[in-house]
Amino acid sequence: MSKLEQLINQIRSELGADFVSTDVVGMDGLSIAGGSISPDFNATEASARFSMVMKLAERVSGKIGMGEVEDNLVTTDKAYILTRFLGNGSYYWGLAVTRNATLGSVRILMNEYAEQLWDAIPR
Amino acid sequence: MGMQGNLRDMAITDLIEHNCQSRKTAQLQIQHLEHTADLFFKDGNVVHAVMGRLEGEEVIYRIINWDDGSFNLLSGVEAPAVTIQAGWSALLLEGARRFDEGSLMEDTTQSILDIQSEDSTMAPKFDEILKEMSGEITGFIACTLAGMDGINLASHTRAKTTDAEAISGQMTMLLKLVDTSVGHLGAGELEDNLTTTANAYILMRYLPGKQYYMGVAADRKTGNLGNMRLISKTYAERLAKAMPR
Repeated sequence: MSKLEQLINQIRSELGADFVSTDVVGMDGLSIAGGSISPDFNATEASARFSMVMKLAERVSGKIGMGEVEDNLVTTDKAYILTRFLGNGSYYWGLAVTRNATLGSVRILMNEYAEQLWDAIPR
Repeated sequence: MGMQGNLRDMAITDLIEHNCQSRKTAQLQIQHLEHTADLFFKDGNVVHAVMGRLEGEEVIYRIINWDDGSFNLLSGVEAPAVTIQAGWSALLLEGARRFDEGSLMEDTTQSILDIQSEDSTMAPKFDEILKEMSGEITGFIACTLAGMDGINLASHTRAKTTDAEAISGQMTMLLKLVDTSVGHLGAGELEDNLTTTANAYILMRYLPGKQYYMGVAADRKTGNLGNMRLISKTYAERLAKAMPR
């Protein structure tokens, strides 16, 4: 098991029942590691779509002079979907949790694991 | 070469936006009942409008609520005069504001506003609500109320140099993409989107009905996410109630 996959499993374990899905995705939209609780969840599509979201968020932020994007949080009636650039921005980390999750704790967890995930990406 | 159609299929606001954004030089003839209005576009703006003896911006404000009639776009026709200085988005904003206040009246026997309930008195001004909200958001930078067409309805900024209209247009694109993505993934109904940047927190929240949204930006260092989300949720409800029926 790669270091990246180990970290993914740790993250899943820490989130417990709140975990829905996670992926480490290149800005080409392709996932390099991840997992989901649901076999019906289309991780490939999610990775591609949210890479577009992150790219557009970056462009929008640049145009309105708000600086570089760090992360994006989508709130729906079913889930929180957090996406966060890793390292130099050539990858992003996507994490979906249930609405029962404590958002503050999830953001802290992402802060803790972001650098580890970046270091674990094969380069 | 031009385009013809009916206002039921394409609203005047959409016609103005489309011709301005595509930077057409053209004349747009609009027929509504016994009235004819002519709008002239050049270099990305409406430069002249005439309806009977009326000229300039007032023509826009009079016709902006027409939802029935026909239009005919004549490409390449130069404006005979320049009577409008305001940018197209400012015209639409002012037109929407006047429409909200009920100050637009056609000079025919047909009333513009179809009053349906006792609560259809003038809605509180959106900008007053946004200004009040700005005082409650820690690290406030700017806020905007916009339609999903990207048209800014109202805004309030800490710095006058902040371009609220540009912000609305950009935010609308992002919100639409997020909503589409969430929909395709079956991830539920989008409530809000929060982007964290080096300088700011940028929150976008739909008003009920998802025809309009509110955007709020707060300083990254002095802002508080929990405060921002709570206050914006409260004021989104107020803005929704202030919408004309």
